[in-house]
Parts: sequence; structure tokens; C-alpha cells
Amino acid sequence: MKSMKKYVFLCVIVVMLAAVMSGCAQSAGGGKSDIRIFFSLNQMDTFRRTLVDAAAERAAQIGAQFVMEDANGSIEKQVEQIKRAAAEKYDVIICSVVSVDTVTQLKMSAEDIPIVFVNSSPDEKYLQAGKYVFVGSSEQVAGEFQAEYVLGKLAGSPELNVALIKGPSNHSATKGRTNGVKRALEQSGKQIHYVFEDTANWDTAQAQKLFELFLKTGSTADCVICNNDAMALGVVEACKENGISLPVLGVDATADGCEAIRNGDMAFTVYQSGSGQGHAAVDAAVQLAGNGDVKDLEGSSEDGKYVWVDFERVDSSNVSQYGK
Amino acid sequence: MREERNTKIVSIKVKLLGIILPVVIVIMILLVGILYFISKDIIKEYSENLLTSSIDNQTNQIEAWLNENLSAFGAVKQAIEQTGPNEQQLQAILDSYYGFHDNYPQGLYIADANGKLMTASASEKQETNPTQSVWYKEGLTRWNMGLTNAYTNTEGSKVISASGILDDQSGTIKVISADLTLERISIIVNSYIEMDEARAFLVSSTDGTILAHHDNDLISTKLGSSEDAFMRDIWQKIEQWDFDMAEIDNNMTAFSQINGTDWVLVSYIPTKIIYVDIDSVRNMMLVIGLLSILLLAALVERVVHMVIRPVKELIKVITAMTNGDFTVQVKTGSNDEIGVMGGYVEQFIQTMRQMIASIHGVSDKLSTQAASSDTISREMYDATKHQGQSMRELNTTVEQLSLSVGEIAEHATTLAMVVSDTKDDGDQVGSKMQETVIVSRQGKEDLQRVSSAMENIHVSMQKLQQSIDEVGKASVEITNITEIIGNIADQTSLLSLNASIEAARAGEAGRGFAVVATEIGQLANTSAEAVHNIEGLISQINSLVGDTVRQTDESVENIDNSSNLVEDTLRTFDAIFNNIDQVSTLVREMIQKVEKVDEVATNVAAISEEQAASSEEILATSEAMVCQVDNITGNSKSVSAGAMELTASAEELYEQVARFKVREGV
Repeated sequence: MKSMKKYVFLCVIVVMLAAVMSGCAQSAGGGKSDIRIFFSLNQMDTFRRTLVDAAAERAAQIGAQFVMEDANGSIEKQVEQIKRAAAEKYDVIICSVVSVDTVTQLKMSAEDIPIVFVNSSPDEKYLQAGKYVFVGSSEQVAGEFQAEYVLGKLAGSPELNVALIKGPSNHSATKGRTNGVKRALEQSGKQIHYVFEDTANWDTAQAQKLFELFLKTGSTADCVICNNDAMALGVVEACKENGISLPVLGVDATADGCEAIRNGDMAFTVYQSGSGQGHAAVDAAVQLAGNGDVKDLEGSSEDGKYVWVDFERVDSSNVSQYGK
Repeated sequence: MREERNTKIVSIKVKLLGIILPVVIVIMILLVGILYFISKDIIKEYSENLLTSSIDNQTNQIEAWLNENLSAFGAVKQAIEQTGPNEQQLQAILDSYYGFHDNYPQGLYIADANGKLMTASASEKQETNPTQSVWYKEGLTRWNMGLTNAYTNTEGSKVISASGILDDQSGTIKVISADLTLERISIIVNSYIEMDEARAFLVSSTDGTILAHHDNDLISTKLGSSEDAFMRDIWQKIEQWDFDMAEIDNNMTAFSQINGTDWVLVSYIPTKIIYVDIDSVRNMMLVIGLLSILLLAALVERVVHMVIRPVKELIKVITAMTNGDFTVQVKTGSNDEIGVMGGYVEQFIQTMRQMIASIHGVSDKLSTQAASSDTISREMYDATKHQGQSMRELNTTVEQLSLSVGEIAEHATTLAMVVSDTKDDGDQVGSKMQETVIVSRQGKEDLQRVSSAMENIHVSMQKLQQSIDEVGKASVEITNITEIIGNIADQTSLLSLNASIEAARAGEAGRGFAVVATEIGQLANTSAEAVHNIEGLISQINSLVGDTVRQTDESVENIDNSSNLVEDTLRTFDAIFNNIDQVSTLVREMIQKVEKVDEVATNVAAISEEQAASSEEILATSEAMVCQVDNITGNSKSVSAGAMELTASAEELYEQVARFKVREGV
């Protein structure tokens, strides 16, 4: 009996010691100067530039090692990058995926390294608290903001002719933003006609071409809602060429988008804080590297799978604060 | 008493089963319950995952199917847009796709803003006003080919069309389209359900049109106006843009949006199907539990039976022991606590056997002894009774003796009193003598003259002297008598001493003592006679003194007669005077002697009193002895009774001990 007690006591001591040691190890691992972060980018664009720069800045701020590589839109290249990062034993990977369909492959390639997904959100089922998280802005909210603006602007008309220029159909932002727009519009009780709805793959030229084509059909739209600013600028271009003026809405509040708002070419955009996401991505990465989870971070979801960075509405009234 | 106890006995077996079974049953129920709920949760989660996986797969398959067709159409469309064919070439292209693929057997067709419809040559498709058709109007809203809502085409088929603007740079807006039948889509939808028993249907989220359903009749009906409450509930949820998995009307229901369309795939499975397995598991667990309980009960029953078998043996042995049978034996087979107990009981039986055997012996001896002591006590009782009688007789004798001694004392006292009176009388004589002396002195002068008379007086005086001499002799005799009395007293004393000793020896001595008492009586008579003599002597003395007085009187007469002869008689008178003086002296001496007699008589009386007291003491002592002898008789009676009781007890003890059997046949 006595020896039993002694044994239990010893066990408790050992467990406590182990806990203390691991605690020490954890804090040592969390020693920010030691963290090595690998950033695999799908493809550089204006927004992602902001994001990457902010991430690098944040990493430098906390003294973490930060390496960024661009996959140039190639799935194979991205997988190769992740494999290399795993081989070189990075502590954590930040990844803006080329395609959300490859998430399982990426996770496999990363072996045991935690991944912070940015920019494009994998399906929720692929995320796991403390291991695979997404840092970004809720795309649906961006769409809702656009719909709100349109409904406010055209409050008087019971029917709305809406032209939708969307991103690639398999992109999470396309789905989220489009759903946000449609849901908000339909719930307004107005009769909504989608006079044009097509994808322009985030591309200005494609959007311009599409909208010019739309204009040829003779249909009229009360507004053009685009899934991003780049496409909105294409629509603006088409309108200019055809000498018509429409409220054109985008998302991202890129420098060009803001410029267009300042010029009165574009009506509204949603600022997706690339820098905010970059910062948050690095903060989340640090947490994951330290075997922690993101629940303590601002904007984290209850299930610990997401860190939401707030969107901001941008129109002519406040555009001066953005796009610089 | 024992029977009563028997009725209250609850066997260990029942007790054990009564405790173990309910506990086990409760544990079983808890276990089954917990397992059931845990399994239910697990199965539910598993089913949700399965349904999610199923619907995801279906979605992927449908999307792939749609994309496959759309990309095929897109390729044709791109080719047309790139090559800018003339009408014949375009017709050839359209013709080449007729029957090209069974997904779209009619191939592609094109309408322009002017209402001109181009179809494959073999196609029977007719359209009176193509620009008003669903496919045309929806096609106008996109360049990339997309899918229209479900509609019934001019041939009466329920179809969806893939349509889009054909930008052939001709300046006329054209829409290119191809029809996909809903039946085909239904087949696709239903073919890729991964989960057994799950159902799926495809619905347009814009107006709730059912695009694909395993029940073909429901295709292209509206979800919101369905008769089925489940369908209406689903529509309510879709209208809310709520695509999370939920349990609706006892159906686990999953939703999935199809990319590039407004379609929502709904997949559901009745929860009862999901829980069928868990219910059968629960039933199986209950059955197994029941069997286990039965097995356990049987096991417990057997084990307890085996364990308590030696206890039953012990109970038999103890029952036999309770009935006084110590010939039984304990079989100490087992090596457990009960075996140890049996061993000790066996030891106990051995010890008891020895003890009872020795008690047997002791009680035998005891009854023999009791019998003999009974006899002795009877004899003793008889003896003491006899002794008591003797003592009573002795007592009577002593009482008589005492009475006699009392009488002696009384007489002695009387004697003393008489002597005392005598002394008083003597004293009076003395005083008279004094008076005589005085008279003599008065008469001396007168009588000096009476000489002759004096001579007579002198003679008288001599006679008187003689009398007095006789008195002296009597006194001597009195002295002798006194001595005799003294002797009597001595003997009486001796006798009384003997009597005391005899009395102390009690017993047989009683008779001898009676003789002594007789002697004492005789001696007492002698004493009485002696006293009588003394009385006689004293009366003689008295008469002598009377003579003396009379003679003196005569002398006085003579003196009177010779008064005239005073002078003559003077000398005579002197002589008389001298004589009287001498008489007076003698009287005084006599008185002194009488006083001595008085003393002696008083002593005798005192001694007699003492004797009387002593004899009373003897009497008291003798009475006490009688009392004691009576007590002894009483005690010896009690002893006898006790001895009788002892005998009875010894017999009872013997009987009691005889109840125990320590040897077979005893």
C-alpha cells in the first residue's frame, strides 16, 4: 500500500516534470527568432503583393525567418515547394493555394508541418484546429457589402437588373462573394434579374470583353457587381468605350480600384486588408509553430479553424484612406 | 423455537444472488445504455460523415459531368468563334454533333437575334420564336456556356440547356445551345449516391424547381408547392440560404451547391435507417447481457452451493451436538475458512467428549458420597435428639437442687435474724444490768445496812452465776453447732463444685448427678436440725436468764425485808454490788459471744444466698445447654435435609450428564 502510494507520487512528479519540460520546450520553440516560415504563393498580384509584404514585415518585426516563393499558378510547382519546405524542416507554412482542390495533396506534402492557408479558403472539412487554419476575410461579407450598397443606391426601384462578373467558378472567393451578393439581394424582396452572369477569371481584359459583349445584346443593367476590382476596372473600361455610366462595384480596394472610385468610374469596393491578412497569417503561423491554436487571436472562429480579418466598405466618401 | 428460526432462515445463496444480480443488472443496463448512446453518437457522426462524403462525391460527379459537357460545348463554341465559318461550314459543324454523344443527342443549335434557328440537319427541333425561348434568353446573360433552369422544350421533353452567347464577330448576336434531358441528369444524380439507403435530388435554388429526382413524376415540379411536408421544409431551408446539414422530419439531410449553377443537391437518409444498426446492436447487447446474467446467476448458485456444502455438514454436526450427541465427526475436507472452522468444531467435540466423560465419573462419586452423608446425618440427628432429652432431664434435676439450696439460704437467713434478735435482747440485758448497777449503787448506802439480806443475795447471786455458767456451756455448744454448720457448708460447697463439673460434662453424666443432688438434700436436713438445736439452746438461755431475774427479785424482797437492817446489809450490799458488777461483765462477754454467733449466722446466710445464686446460674447454664442441644438437633435436621437434597442433586446431575452421548451405544 505504502509502496503503491510512493509509486503514484513518483508518477505524478514525473508527469509534472514532463509538463514543465515540455512547457519549456514549447516556449523555446515559440522563441520567435527561431521560427522559420515558408510562404508558398499561388501567383503574385497587387493584392497578394500587399499581403506578402505585410507578412514579411510582420515576420521581420518578431524576428522570424521568412521565405516566400511564387508557384506562378502551377499546381505542380506549389506541391514541389511544399515538399521542399518539409524536407528543410520549416516550422510552419503559409500557403495561398493555386487550387483548393489540391489541399489534401499539399497537406500530405507538408508532412507534419502546420499550414496557414491564405487568400483562397479550402473547404472547412480540410481544416483542423491547431494544424490547418485559414486566415482571410469572409468572402460572403464582401458580397453582402456590395449588395447593401446597390440596394441603398437603387432603393427606389422594385426591380433590379444586375450584371454579375465572377471569378473562376472553383475559387472559394467566387462562391462566397457571389452567394453573399445573391442572398442579400434576394432577401431584399426586390425582383432581381441577373441580366448577365459570367466568369472573367479575375481578369480585367476578359471582364471588358464580356461586358462589351453584354452591351451588344441590347440588355440593360442597373449595376455591375464584380467579384474583384480588376474585373470591375474592365467593366469600367467597356462602359467608357461605349459611353455609358453604371455603378460598377468591385472587391479588394486595390490601388487601381480606389483610383477609379476617386475618378468616379467605380462606385464601390470592399477593402480586403491584404496587410491585415499578412499580419494575421504570420501571427497564426507563430501560434501553430508553437503547437498552440489560433483561438486567442483577434477574429478567430469558435472552432479554431479560421481567423477572420475584417472587410471595410470603400466608396467615394472614404476612398482617400485607401489604395495608397 | 428452532422451528421458528427455521422459518426465518434466508439462505446465503438467495442473499448473494439478491445482492449480486440487481447490481449486475444495473451495471448491465448502465453499460448497455452508455454504449447505446455513445454508439448512437458515433454512428450519427459516422453517418453524417458518410452522407457528407456521399453528397460531396455526388456534387463532384455532377460538376464533372456538367463540366465535361460544358467544356465539350465550349470547345465547339470556341472553334466556331475562332474559325468564323460560313453558313455551310457552320451547318456541317452542327450536323457533325448530331448524335455525337448520347448526353445531347440533338447536338448543338444556334439562334440569332433575328429569330433564325440553325439546328443539325437531322434534328427535329422546331422553335417558332427562338428569341423568346428559355435557352435563348438565359444564353444571352453569358458568354461562357452555362446551364439554364429546367423547362419543357418544344418537343415536350423536360430539359435544361447549356447556352451562351456565340461571339462570332458577325455583328449579329447569336446564342448557341444544347439540350440535356433531366432524365439523364437524374440518372447521373442517383448513380453516384455512395451511402446505402440514402436518396438525393437536385433542385434549383432560384425557384425551387426539382431538376432531378428518383421519382420522375416530381421532376420539374416546385419544391415549395410539394404535398410532402419534408420537401416544403427543405425548400424553406434553401430559401434561407442555409446549406448546413440538419435533421429534417426524421431525415438526416445534407445540402451541396453545384458550382457554376444555382443548383442545390439535396441528399437525405431517414434516421431510422441509420439507427437500425445501433438498435440491433443494442438488442444484441441486451440479449448478451441477459445471457450473461443468467450465466452469472447459475455460476453464483453453483459456487455458493459448493462453498456452503461443508457448512451444511457443520450444521448437521452442530445440531447433533445441540441434542447432546457428541459421537458425530466433522469431515474437514476443504482448506478454506470453513475447513478451519470444521477443524475447530472437531477439536471442540473431542474436548467435550473428554469433559463429559470425566463429569460422568465425578457425578457417580458424588451420588455415592451424597448417599453416605445422608445416612450419617440421619444418625447424627437421632443422637442429638437423644442428647437433648437427657439434657432436659438434667435441667429438671438442677432446678430441684436450686430450689433446695434456696430453702437452705432462707433458713440460714432466719437463723441470722434470730441471732440478731438475741443480741438485741442481750444488749437490753446489758442496759438492765447497768440500771441494776446504778440501783445497786443507790441502794449501796441503804443496803450497806442490810448485811444479812446481802448474804441471801449473795447465794442468789451464786445461783445466778451457775446459770450463767450454763449459758457459757450453751455458748460452747453453739460454737460447736456453728462448726457443724461450717462443715455442712463446706461439703455443700464441694458438692456444688462437683455438680458444676458434672453439668459441664453433660451427656451421659446426667444420672450420676442425681445421686449427688440427693446427698446435698440430706446435708441440708442436717443443717436444719442443727439450727433447731441452736433455737432450743437459746430458749434455755432465756429461761436461765428468767431464773436469774426471779432470783434477783427474791433478793430485792429480802433486801426490802431487811431494809431496816440497812447498816447490816451494807457490807452485804457491797458484795452484791461487786457481784452485779461481775455479772454485768459476764453479760457483756455473753453479748460479745452472741454477736459472734450473729456474725457467723449472717455469714452462713450470705454463703447460702451465694449458693442459691450459684445454683441459679447452674440452672441458667443448663437451660442454655438445653437450648443449644435443641439448636443442634434443629441443625442436624437441616444437615439431614441438605444431605437429602444433595443426594437428589447428585441424581439429577447424573441424569443430565447421561443425556450426552460420548460413545456409540451409550
